[in-house]
Amino acid sequence: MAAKSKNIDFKNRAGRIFFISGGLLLILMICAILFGSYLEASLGKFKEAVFLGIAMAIALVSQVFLVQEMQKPQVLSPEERVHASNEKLRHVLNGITQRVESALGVKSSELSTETLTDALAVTLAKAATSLAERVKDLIQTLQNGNNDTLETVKQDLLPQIEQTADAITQYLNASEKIDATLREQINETKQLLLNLQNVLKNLPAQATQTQESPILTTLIGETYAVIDRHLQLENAVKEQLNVVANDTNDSAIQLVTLMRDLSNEAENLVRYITDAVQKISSLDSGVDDSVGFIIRIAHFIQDIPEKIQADIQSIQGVSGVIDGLTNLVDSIKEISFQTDILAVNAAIQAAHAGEAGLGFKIVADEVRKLAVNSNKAAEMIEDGLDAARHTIKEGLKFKFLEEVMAEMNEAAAVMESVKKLEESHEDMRQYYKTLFSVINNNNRKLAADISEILGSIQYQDIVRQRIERMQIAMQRRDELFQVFADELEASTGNLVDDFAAQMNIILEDYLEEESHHNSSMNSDADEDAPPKFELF
Amino acid sequence: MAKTILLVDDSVTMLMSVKNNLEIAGFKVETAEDGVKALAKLNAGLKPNLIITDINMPNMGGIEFIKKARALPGFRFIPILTLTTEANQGKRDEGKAAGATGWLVKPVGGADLLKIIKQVLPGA
Repeated sequence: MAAKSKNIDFKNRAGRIFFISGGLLLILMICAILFGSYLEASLGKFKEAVFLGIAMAIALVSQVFLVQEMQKPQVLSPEERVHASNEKLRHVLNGITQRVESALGVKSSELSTETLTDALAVTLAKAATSLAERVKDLIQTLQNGNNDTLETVKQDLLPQIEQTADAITQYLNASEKIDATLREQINETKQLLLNLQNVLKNLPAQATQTQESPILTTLIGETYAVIDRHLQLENAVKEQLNVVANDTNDSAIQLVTLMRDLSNEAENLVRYITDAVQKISSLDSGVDDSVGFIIRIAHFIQDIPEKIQADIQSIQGVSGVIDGLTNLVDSIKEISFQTDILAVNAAIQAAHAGEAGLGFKIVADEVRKLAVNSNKAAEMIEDGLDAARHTIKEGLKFKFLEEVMAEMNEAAAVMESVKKLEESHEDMRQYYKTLFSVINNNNRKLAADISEILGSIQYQDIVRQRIERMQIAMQRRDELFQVFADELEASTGNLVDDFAAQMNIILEDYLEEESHHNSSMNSDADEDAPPKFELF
Repeated sequence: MAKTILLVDDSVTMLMSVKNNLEIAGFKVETAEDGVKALAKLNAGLKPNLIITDINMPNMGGIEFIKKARALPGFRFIPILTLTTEANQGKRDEGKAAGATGWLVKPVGGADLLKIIKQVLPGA
């Protein structure tokens, strides 16, 4: 019979027909056994035909009803509807479970938040260490310069560096917070999904075993509660992500400000050194002038002995002339002596001449007086010449040359010390030049480090954008969960939307969007990725 | 005279970090938080030697901003670089079609950025 082809279900109409027709046939058989002898007496050999006819009629009628029943459009009972929606629910939830799990799997592996923050930390730490070393070098250089005025610059610079280190630490803490928050969220969500899975595993068995719908309602209620709690968790996590994004933003801004201050400090330092170098060069020209002047004086002093020597020589010439004059004086004396003798002889001759010689005697006397006077004059000249010679001799007696030589040596010593001064000045100039070049070099490295640190801060923006994309995906998922939860709560039994498909769209949108962006700091390793820099 | 660079990005951190690096290198830097504000600056008479813009920004994104900037008189040949997290080829092609000179994927270190700027701004 057609009814036998499916499980006997007494609650539907076909089952009832089958049950009733079977019962009638049984009654017929019992009647045949109980009233067999009586019926055989009355009906005789028609007994079998009558029984068979009644049985055939029952079978035929039930068959007709059954065929009618089979041809009727199948209307599901409320229990069947619940069962069907239960099946569908199970399917949908399994789909969601798989999708969410795969999404979580992708998130934790492909987003590599951990890798990102680690790499960021390493970059910043490297930059900070190198910066600290540069600054240490700089301070070392300055200390070797023994310049106390640089102490103030150093005092300004050190707190800057400490503050920078603090900011970097804060930034790293914020990054760790992102990491921790995301992992916490992933774990919580996984736990929720596990609970959901357990609920769902029990669902089909309970649904088939139970005829009562309250248990199913409870299950749906529980599912709804789980999703609701999940949504609450999501909101909490989202708030945290916002806090984290703000924290990293603030830290990054602080870091940039500090870096800028540091850079300004370094610039001030270089300006100070440049000023110092300029002052040294003006000092240089002053010293050069002084040295030139001293050298000119030295040359003058050096020339003095020669001039003195020339003077001595001319004085010695004068002495020679005086000697010549002394000879002349002797000649005059000789002449005046001979003139005197001549006058005496003339006077004797005049006396012999008597009166005739009186006039001649007067002349002779005058000639004699002249001779005496000439002699006196010659003696006076001789005395004068002697005095002059004496004076020259006395003058030349003064160890003049020795003194002059000593002075000349002294002048040479002055020259020597001037040369030494010039040399040490040159050394000092070289030293400052080297100092300046070292500081300049350090400063360039410092500027390069600062520039790299500033570049690293761009990761804050990348992290922020990544969090924003996550938030958008979570928002869409939450909205979908909300609709899903609402439909479950309404307990209509029919789920209008294909949630698994919609969840899949959200996941694929998210992954697609994520693939458009540079995934992490280590993305350079990806050879298939488009170049980081391209000129069109 | 110092060359002027217009920097367009919605992230304050980005603006500060890149601005500082460029200023240390001796450039004069003007900033704008989105395409609308950047266009307003250009319309008000700002004539930068180079524009560096983000792509994803509120109000007006980078692609639209490049298109509109290129349409302004005197901005046909001014180099425009993008500085963005967008790394895929599709967006690059869009940027190229809009008139971008080059495509830079964040992050770009200070030294690298200056090297690239030297390529598009000879004598900088």
